[in-house]
Amino acid sequence: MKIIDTHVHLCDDESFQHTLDLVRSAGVEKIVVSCLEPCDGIYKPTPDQFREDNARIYEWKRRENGFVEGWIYVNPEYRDESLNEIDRGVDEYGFIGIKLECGCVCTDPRYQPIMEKAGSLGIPILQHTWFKITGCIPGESVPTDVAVLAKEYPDVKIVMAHIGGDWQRGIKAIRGFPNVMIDISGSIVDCGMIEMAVEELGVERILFGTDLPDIGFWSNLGKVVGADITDEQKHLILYENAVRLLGGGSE
Amino acid sequence: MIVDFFTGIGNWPFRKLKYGQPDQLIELLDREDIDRAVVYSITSILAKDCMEGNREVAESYPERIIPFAVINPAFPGWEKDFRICFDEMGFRGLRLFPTYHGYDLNDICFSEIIVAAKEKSIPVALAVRVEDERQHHWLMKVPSLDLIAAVEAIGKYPEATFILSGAKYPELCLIKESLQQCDNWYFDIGRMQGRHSSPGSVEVIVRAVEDFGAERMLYGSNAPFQYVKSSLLKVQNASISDEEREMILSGNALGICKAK
Repeated sequence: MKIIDTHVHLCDDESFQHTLDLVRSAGVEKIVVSCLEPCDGIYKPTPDQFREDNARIYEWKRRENGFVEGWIYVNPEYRDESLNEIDRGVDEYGFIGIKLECGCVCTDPRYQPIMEKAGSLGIPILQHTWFKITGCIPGESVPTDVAVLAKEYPDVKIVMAHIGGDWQRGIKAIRGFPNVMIDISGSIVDCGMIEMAVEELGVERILFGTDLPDIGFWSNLGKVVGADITDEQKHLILYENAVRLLGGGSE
Repeated sequence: MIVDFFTGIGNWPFRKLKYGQPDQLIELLDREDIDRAVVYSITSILAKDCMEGNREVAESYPERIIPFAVINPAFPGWEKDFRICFDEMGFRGLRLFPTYHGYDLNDICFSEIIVAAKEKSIPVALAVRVEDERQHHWLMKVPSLDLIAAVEAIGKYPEATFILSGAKYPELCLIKESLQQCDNWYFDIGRMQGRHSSPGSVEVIVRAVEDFGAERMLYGSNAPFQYVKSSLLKVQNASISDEEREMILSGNALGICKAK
């Protein structure tokens, strides 16, 4: 079983080493990593914070020789610093896309320069998304926000993380926007969520992810392995779709 | 041997449960090589008369399931239903849904049903939640069980046996010191998908064994709400001893239910 985990966080180095040991023992071929939240509760990082953390991921990427890939983590509240960091992430670090958390809701006008940059560079956006009936945290996007963003930037590939949290709502909200993929990462392991995503979106729009280190690897793998879908569909979710997103194949 | 301590059958109004009927649950257990399952009635969570669902559980696959009765002690006549369940229908345990049935753990009705369970040596599973609160239907937002009140109840009735069912690992950590003063409790791992943000193992099962001991832990999938594979893989692959794994997967459950 070939696996690429597209949604991993770098927290403290000890946890990250545990993460590497675990995913390697499970046969994972590659992980794609971002910082900071949810590890330390900093939802609106300053430029110094996101620069430092992207540099830490780059160090791990160098050390792990292709096993670790990176998302460029920025905060749209800081326009120029974010744009500069995206350039650094692409040119110096070789990261594969941009990670956006809760700096501001993704319908905020401050997303415009980030999205235009992603479009001009041809790199994807990984957007944290969680609809909570109990209330979102400030700056947190919900699936209908992602739909608005997708409609406005049809040429930018957007990955809606966590199937939007409330997965039925998430799947329905972005169903009509082919430039939106989902990742299945997170603590929700509801029976039926993968089957519905395959049926409504098509299997090629689904990526495997975990949200390690705070959410478990096996819980998330069990969603795919335990779903009533074909082995070929499982392979696409666990591996092949990520290969295509990363641009050509694993090293 | 594997005993799944956390499964249900029945209907849920907010989404279709693919493996919610008795035949479907057995099919799922067979597929995953699960030998026995502790089963409660999902229908009884929201039905006024819990006995509708209890009857369905009692009539289903007695060789495979260990039936737990759902009883609402805030509803009139529960005492007779309790006697029917345990004296006539063969139920082996009790599952309570205080937040869904509208009573507090300090209410007299809770005290009465715990005393009744204790007198018959019936284990009591306290449902911490049914679905993740963040995903509740907009017309029905039900809070999770107050775990501070739960641990107080566990301490108040040392001769009763309690199972905290559906708690998240960080929630249990918050009441760890109080729990460790008691010896009459277990917890299932069905809703434990993550750990605390702190250095150390990234495996929640490893953390839970370190913090609470394997002798407190019960394998439970929360099927048909959740994928069986999600909980099974995390126990089967956890970096723990074979003895600890056996306790979690079956030993503790068989001891609680006095089953073979």
